[in-house]
Parts: sequence; C-alpha cells; structure tokens
Amino acid sequence: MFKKVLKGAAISALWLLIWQAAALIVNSQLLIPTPLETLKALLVLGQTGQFYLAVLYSLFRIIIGFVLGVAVGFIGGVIANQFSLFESFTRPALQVIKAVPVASFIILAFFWFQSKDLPIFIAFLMVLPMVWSTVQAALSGIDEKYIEMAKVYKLSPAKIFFKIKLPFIMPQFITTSMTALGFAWKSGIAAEVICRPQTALGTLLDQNKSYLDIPAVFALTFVVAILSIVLEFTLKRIVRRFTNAENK
Amino acid sequence: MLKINDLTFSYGEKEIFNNFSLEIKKGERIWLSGPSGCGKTTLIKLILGLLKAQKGQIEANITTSVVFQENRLLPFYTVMQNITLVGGDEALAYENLTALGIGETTDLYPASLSGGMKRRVAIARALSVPFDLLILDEAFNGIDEKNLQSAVDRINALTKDKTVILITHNPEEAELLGAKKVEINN
Repeated sequence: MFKKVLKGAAISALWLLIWQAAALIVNSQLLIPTPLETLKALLVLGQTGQFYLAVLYSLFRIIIGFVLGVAVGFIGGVIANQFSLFESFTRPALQVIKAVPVASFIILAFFWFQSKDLPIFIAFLMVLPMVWSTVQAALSGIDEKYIEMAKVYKLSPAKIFFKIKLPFIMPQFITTSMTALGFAWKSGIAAEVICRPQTALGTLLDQNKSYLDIPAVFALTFVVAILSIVLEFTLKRIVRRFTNAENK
Repeated sequence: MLKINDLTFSYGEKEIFNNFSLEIKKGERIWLSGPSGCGKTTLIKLILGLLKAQKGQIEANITTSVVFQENRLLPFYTVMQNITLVGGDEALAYENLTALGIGETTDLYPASLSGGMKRRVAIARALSVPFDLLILDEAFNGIDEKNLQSAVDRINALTKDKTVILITHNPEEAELLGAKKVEINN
C-alpha cells in the first residue's frame, strides 16, 4: 500500500515538474501558467461562494441528465430487444444521435431549452444511445439455452428477466454506464460553456477565458477533471455496494 | 400420460418427423435411440414445448424435469442457488448432491467445478424439482464409472413411479436404468 502511494506521488511529482518546465520554456502566463499560478487561481476561486454553487449546479444538472439517460436507455434497450418493430423504428434515431457531433446538438438545443436545462439534455443525449445499444446487444447475446431451461421450469417472465437476464447483462451495463458518465460530464460542461447558464462551471470557464485569466481556466479545468474522477469513483462504490448486497 | 399423434416437423427443407406417433405410459422408461441428427433432441424440445410441430399433436399434461445435453448452470449463482432458482427443494437438493458425491459443493460457483461435477449438479437439479416425467438427454456424458453408478442409483430411487425418457449412445446406461429401446430413424 505504502509503495503504491509512493509510486503515485512520484509520478504526480514528475508530471508537475514537466508542467513547470513547459511553463518556464514558454514563459507566458497566457499560454501555460505554472502549477503555482494555477494553485493560486484555485485558492482565489475557492474563496468565492459562486464557485461552490457552480460546482453543485453543474454536478446536479449532469447527474440528472446521466440518470435519465441510463434509465431511458435501459428501458429502451430492453423493449428494443423484445420487439423488433420498435427496434427498427428507433434505430435511425439512435444512429443520428450517435453520428451528429455534440456541438451541433448543443447549438440546436440552445433554441429548444432554457440555458440552465440544456446541459441536462446534452448529458442525457450522450448517455442514451450508449446504454440503449449496450443493453440491447447484451440481452440478445444471452445464450437462448438458459432461457429455454427457465421456460421448461415455468419461471415467470419477470423472474427470467430479473434472475437470469439482468445478471447476464450487468457487467456490460455497468462498464458502459461508467464510460457514459465520463461522456455526460464532458459534454455537459461543453454545453455550459456554449449556452452559459447563470451558475455553472462551464460559465465560469468561459468568463475567465474572456478575461484572459488563463491560470483560472487551468484551475477550473483541473476541478472539472477531479470531479469527473470523483463521480466515477462514487458510481463504482455505489455499484459495488449494490452488487455486494445482491450477493448476500 | 404422454401421447404423440401424427407429428410432422421439419427445419426448413429438412424433414425430421413425418406422421410420427408414440405413446408413453405412466411409469414407463424409454430409451430413444438412433443415429446423430435423427431428431432425438428435437423430439425432446417438441415435448417440452420449446418447438412447435407443423402438424400433429403432443398431449402431455405433466410436470417435466430435464437434464439437458449441456449443463446450463448459471455462472453467477452457486450450486444451491442454481437448483432453488428453478423451484428445487433445498433439503432434497442437498440429499441429491450428497448422493451424487458432491454434497460439499452447495456454496460453490459452477466455474470452480470440474466438468463431471457440473454434470452431476445438472442431474441433482433435475431431481430436486417435482416432476412426473424425467428427461435425460446425454445426462451421463463426462461422468466416470463410479459416479455413473451413484447417479443411476439416485435416479432409480427417485423415479420409481415416474416416467423416464433417456437419450444416450451408451446402451449400458439404458440397461442400468432399465429403459425400453425406441428406435428413431428418419
């Protein structure tokens, strides 16, 4: 454990040194601020209530979009696996969502939603097709022999779904949800930068860019990255707790 | 008990059964014999309702339990959970597992069992649910001689007044179960 911590600290220190060296070589705060300047900017940001509110609002919006995307994607994937007509009907829409760049959706949705709701929609839109396709593919990949066995023993459709199908698709569903969370976070912040809701991390990023306060932009980017890691870690913990409880 | 009347079934162009009839009485033991691909497993699937006949009828108002050709053990459940999931009685399951020499495996997952042990779990599962008809589709594949005898003894003990359908290429297994040969040849 100690060795692991030491190794992590050494790697972090090495990257900080590389960053410091790059900043010294470029010698322009406008292009690459030093780690110390970034830390100072972070401390200044941390002294304002607006910063914490922005973090909370951004987290709240993007988590809402993520949860909605997972829920609708899961249900959609299950229905699409069950009814081929529904699958055929929804396939073009999913393909369009996957193919269209997120920036186009942000610009389009800017006219449909209030700026505070747009990040929710964008996060939802990023998560939806990922979860949908994964659930649908995972369900159709289950060996039919297990389902036959369940039918022979007259297990109810609900029991077949919850006791057989769901455990089979769970690993893929969890992995995709983890990846989708990262996408939701990044696209949600991008949406905030473009549509500038009143209180949001993306809005702060855009404001500081306008003021050419690049150390603050670096500090906010650092916060966004850390929050992404924290979100992923939290989701992993929730999933682990849930699956442990299931196995007890 | 089980009546098959004028059954016709084909996979696309390939005809498997054409006006096939068979009657199995309560307590009878039948050994379905025939070359590979003649339709033995297809017949079992038709009896189980997993396939639908193009013509003819299958009258089978009975509770059936099966040892499939493959183990079909769910990898995320323990041996006991695999049995109770399909309605197996826990006490009977333990007795069956013990009789089959794998009583200590109840809390183990299928991945940690050998091929022969998995096969015996599949047999124990089939014997732990209530049934009138027991179908054994290549049930003893991969089981060594000593364990084969234990499995047959347990099956014989639990199927005294029940109907048994056996599919096997090994006449010795049919003999041990006292099953009457029914030749299927298309």
